[in-house]
Amino acid sequence: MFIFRKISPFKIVLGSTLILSVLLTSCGQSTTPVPPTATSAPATATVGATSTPASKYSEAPALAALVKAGTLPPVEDRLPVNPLVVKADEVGVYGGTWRLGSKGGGDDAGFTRIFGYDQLLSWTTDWSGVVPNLAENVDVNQDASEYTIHLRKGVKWSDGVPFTADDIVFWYQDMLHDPELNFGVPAQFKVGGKEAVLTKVDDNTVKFTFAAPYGTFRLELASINAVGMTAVPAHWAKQFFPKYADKAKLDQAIKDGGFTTWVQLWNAKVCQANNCGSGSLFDVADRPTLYAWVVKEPYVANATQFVLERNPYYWKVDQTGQQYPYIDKLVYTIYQDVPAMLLKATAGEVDFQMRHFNLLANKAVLSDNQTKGDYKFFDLTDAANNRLVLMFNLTDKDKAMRAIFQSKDFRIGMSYAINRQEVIDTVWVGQGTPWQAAPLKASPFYNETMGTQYTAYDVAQANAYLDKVLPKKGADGFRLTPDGKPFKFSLEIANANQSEVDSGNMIVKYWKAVGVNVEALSEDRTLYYSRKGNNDGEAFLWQGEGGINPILDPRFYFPYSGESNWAEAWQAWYNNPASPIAEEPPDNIKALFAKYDEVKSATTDAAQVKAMSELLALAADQFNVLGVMTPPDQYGIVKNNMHNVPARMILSWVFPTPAPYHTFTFFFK
Amino acid sequence: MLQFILRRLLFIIPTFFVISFVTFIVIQLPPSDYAQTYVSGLLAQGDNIDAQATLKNLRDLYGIGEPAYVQYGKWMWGILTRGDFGMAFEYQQPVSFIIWERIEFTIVITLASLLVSWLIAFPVGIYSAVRQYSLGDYLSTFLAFIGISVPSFLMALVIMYILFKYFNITLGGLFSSQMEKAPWSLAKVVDFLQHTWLAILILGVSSTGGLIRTLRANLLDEMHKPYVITARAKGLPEWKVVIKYPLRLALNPFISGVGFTLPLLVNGSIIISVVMSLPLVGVMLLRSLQSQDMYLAGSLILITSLLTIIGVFLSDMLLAWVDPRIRYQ
Amino acid sequence: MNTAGIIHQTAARTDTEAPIFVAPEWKLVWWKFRKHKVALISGIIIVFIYLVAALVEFLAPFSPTATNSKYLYAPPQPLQFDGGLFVSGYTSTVDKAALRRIFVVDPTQKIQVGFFVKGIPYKWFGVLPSDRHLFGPVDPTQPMYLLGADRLGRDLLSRLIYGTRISMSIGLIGVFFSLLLGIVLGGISGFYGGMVDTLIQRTIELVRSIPQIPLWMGLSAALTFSISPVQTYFAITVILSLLAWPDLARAVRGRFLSLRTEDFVMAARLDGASQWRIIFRHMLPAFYSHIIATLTLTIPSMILAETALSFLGLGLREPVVSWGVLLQDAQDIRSIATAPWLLIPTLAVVIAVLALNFFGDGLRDAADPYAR
Repeated sequence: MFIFRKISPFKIVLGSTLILSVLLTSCGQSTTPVPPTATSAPATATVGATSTPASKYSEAPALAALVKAGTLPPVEDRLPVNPLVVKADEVGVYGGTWRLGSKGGGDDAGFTRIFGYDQLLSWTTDWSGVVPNLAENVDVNQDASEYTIHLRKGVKWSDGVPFTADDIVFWYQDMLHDPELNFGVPAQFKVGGKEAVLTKVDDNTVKFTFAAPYGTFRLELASINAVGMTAVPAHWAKQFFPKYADKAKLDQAIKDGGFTTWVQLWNAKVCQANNCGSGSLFDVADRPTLYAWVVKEPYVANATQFVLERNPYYWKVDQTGQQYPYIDKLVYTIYQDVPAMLLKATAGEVDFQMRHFNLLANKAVLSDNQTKGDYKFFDLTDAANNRLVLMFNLTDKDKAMRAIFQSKDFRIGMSYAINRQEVIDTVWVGQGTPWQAAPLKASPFYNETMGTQYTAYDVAQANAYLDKVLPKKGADGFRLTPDGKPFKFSLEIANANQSEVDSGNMIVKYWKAVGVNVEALSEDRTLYYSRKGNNDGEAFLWQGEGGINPILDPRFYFPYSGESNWAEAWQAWYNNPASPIAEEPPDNIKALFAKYDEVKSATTDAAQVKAMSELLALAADQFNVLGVMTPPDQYGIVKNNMHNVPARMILSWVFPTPAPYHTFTFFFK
Repeated sequence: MLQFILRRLLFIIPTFFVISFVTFIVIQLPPSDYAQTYVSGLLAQGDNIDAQATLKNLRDLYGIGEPAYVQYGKWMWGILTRGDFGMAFEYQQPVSFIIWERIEFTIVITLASLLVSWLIAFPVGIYSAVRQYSLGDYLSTFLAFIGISVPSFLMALVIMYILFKYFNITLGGLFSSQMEKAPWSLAKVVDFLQHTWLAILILGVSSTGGLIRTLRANLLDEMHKPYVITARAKGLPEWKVVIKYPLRLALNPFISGVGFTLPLLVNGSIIISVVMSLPLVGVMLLRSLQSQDMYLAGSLILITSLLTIIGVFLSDMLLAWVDPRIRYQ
Repeated sequence: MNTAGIIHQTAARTDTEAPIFVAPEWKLVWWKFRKHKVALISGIIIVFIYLVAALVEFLAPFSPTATNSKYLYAPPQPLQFDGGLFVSGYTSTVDKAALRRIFVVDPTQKIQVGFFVKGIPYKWFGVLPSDRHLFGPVDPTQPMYLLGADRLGRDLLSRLIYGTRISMSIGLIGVFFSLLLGIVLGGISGFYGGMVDTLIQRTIELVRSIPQIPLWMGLSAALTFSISPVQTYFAITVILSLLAWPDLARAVRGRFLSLRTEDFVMAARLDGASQWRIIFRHMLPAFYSHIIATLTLTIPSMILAETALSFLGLGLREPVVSWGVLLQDAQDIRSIATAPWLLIPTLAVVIAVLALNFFGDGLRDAADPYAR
């Protein structure tokens, strides 16, 4: 069993420093491959050849039969020169069908989590660092501006064609730079607004050169945002790309698909946006892949099932030399709605699931049917820094409102006004503790003051602070703006999650009690995004992010991205000064930007951690956003006969749970 | 008769345009579009994409930013000239590739439940008219109204749960997985019915009430007519009196009933398909409306409406054929 | 045959029928309606329901939005009697594994229930301040969940009472709007005939043959964006009435057609009365009872439509409380499996719809007192 351990600052630094030191020593000397052993994180030691690979590899009986029949090359020829050895907690047996549930339309992220995470680098299971995956190693130069990536030699796509540097080059230079597709290079391949330059060194080596130091790039290679890098098989995708395709055949394909342009065909078959992480990856039967399972019955409109079968060319083996995956087949039943799926799960017709029906509210029903359905629960540690973050728009278009929101006293007053414990007890069945938007205890960046400041429920204090900013009150008892107008605004909530809406309705009541007239407004997520994207709206409620690893997505610590709903104009200035909503921020915000630039360019882990801690200290003092509570544990269900499933996992998207826990090692017994 | 048919047939054409136009305006109303839905989805799950660029790409690709009348014109032109209903954005496929299967099954389920409601309403309606103000009449009236007044989605949900809890049956989908791809056969039909009987029954029951009431009222009207009294006076047995004369006239509501129960059944099938997880038009429509997948939503509304209108037209024809008085109204 | 008997019978008939010849129409309708017992009872139920809707603040023991973290999904407490009314209290613990509260009845804990007790303050019809409630716990801080609690520990009974106002008024207001449309269009159609009639007739057929749910879905999807709950309430009412008017218009037109050739209309016309005067002064009074009957039958379909919209997530939203919103809370497996009392609002819907249907049915039968 994998056991979740709390990560101490020591371990994370140790883990990542080790990688970096290995990478640094190999840099400039030679490019001799470093065995994966050295780069695995000592904290968990689940990946890497701690045991020597068996001299002879073995395979699933169905594949052995195909080899015997002569329709498939032998396993030694299918595996790469150095197959990645992933130590299974319990050596498994082949076979079985893994049944899951899915919803029709837009469930791509769920697939990625189960089987769609095989990138150049991969996270360690405790998320303390990165380990080699499709890349055997990555060399970094002294100032971290040049990354030389050595691909695992002999890895093959699921149709037997080798995976080489050309695949990466096609993805980066042809696809991302095509003027008609107009995808553009994803943000993580840019530094200071300048794109990385990609050069092919040899068939198995590519090099990214950045204009400035970029110490966190290797984390980006493991992040789910880089999923497109290893998802575009050049040899296959070229048939849809005018530069390489046979024109007559391409035109025919466009016509057969009912499309009018090749771009539409490309979107449908290969990639829809520059991150490539959704849609076509799962919509095309037998699309060549590097994942453990290959799509057989695609996830298309009207499909009632989405079926995948083992990839005969999968390039990972267990400690006894058995080729992964253990499980033969994945079958997703596509439900039209959640209640039907929940009933099937309680009836024991789902083998493993942590999506759609695993709401806290449904745990009672699932718990009652545990024996009947023959399943058990596993726990998920939410890696968000908070369950409910409250944001006032510090860059509100209305200058008078903006002045009030920018006042720290206002925010402190609003924070004291909330009875957090009551929200937790009422909506979240007592799961969680009052907490601001700050790194959690499990994080190396844990800072108690930042998490607990102003979380007390203290109406007197709240009024005292609010009186400093909004002393005047109207006849109806509500506060007025300094120029005597009614002070009134809406708290916007995305309506997808009932508990968030319930919490928002309660919070608004507390605010009204201290004379601040706020209405809760639950709306469709799309509208929510469109409004905040245009810097409309005054206040927002959203879930937290960056509770364990704040470096990757520090949206609540400074105006990092479009997801920093509390300062859209400032984040636009930071990310894209040409944006119509961009505005130059005051100096205290600029100080945060400067700190993060320091984090990004730091060439050692120690420097990175130090700079990030300083940024967090600044953020804690500025107190830009309010938090309500620590995120409650979430859960999933797994059948009792499914093995190698950890009893507790970290839940995040950048670390796409459960994929980093090696779903290909799961098996039935 | 021919003139009557032609007149009604011609009427379908302007109807088609009115519906398509209204539909298009309605689905354009929300202050957002599919591109925004798609980008919001990616951003919300934590993907790091360039929102503005992706938005622009998608809008250019699908012509989303154009004025509504241009979009409507192009859409209509495509439908009329090529049978092209536009792209279903979310599924990355032309609408016409993906909707027909759902529409077929929706028609099958709707017609089956129409049949069920007839089978129930026919005997019950006659009984409650012949035995007016009897206990049976009150009981059937009461049950008919219960059928009308319990929201069908709750009925479906509660029955589903009871089936699961006490009979260990979980319903969902149209076929079992092994029958899914099999060619049509008796076994497949049985499999289909095993999966959909509850939906058909609930739908049927919900429209039975109206039919029983109309049949009863019509029959009662006829029963007081002089010719019935004459027949009775001549000594015909009561059942023969009823079956031989008034019943034939009272059948009209069944035929014209297609006209007004069809829209109700389509409504019902939409709701039922959402509750019972049936891959029919309803679920796809709901989802496409929520995600602003406008050509898909528009086409689904258009086609279901058009089919209903055709159904109503056919029932009118049948009625005119059975009851010549109608033609000259 | 006994001649005297016949004479006697005739005399008796004249005696009983005498008032009929002089009675005004509403009296005739009432006499006829009175005979329809079920409709009569239904009428009383409807009056009761609207009374509840009018006196919501007084009748509901608690606020519909008051949450209580100690009573999440608390089951109903039966009302008991031991000389005075009381309910037994609960002791509850949190089951961490299943994430729920487990309630055990504690018979030692007696919560006195009284009439005209003090509770949350409110204003009668928005004017007269008061804090008296028809019934409730004598100590207003004590829990009393006669119909159980919902997921946030809110009192279902109070929510049901508050929901009555919204749901019943949606039906009423919606019907009012569709009545306006129906009378104006149906009246014009029936009175003028010819091209106008054909045009309006075709429009009616068109609207009637469109399956409404897809259109509602479209309209509501357009509306559920960023508007306040009050605006949603009106928008939904308007949508419902926009789609309900054709039935009314048809009924009105049919009546107009049959009345147009009546002598009294002809007489009014010869008298030189204007068109509008003829319609509103002479023809409308002749069939208002029919219209009322049709209206009564339209209200239940609106109530049901509201619940259907809520089910699809396109209807009213919190903090507005309507029957549809309550049913939406009850429609997940969690509620059905572990808190079946949340289905109680279904009963309210069924009773209201049944009563309105029976009432309308009886009214329709009685509406034409001169027939047979």
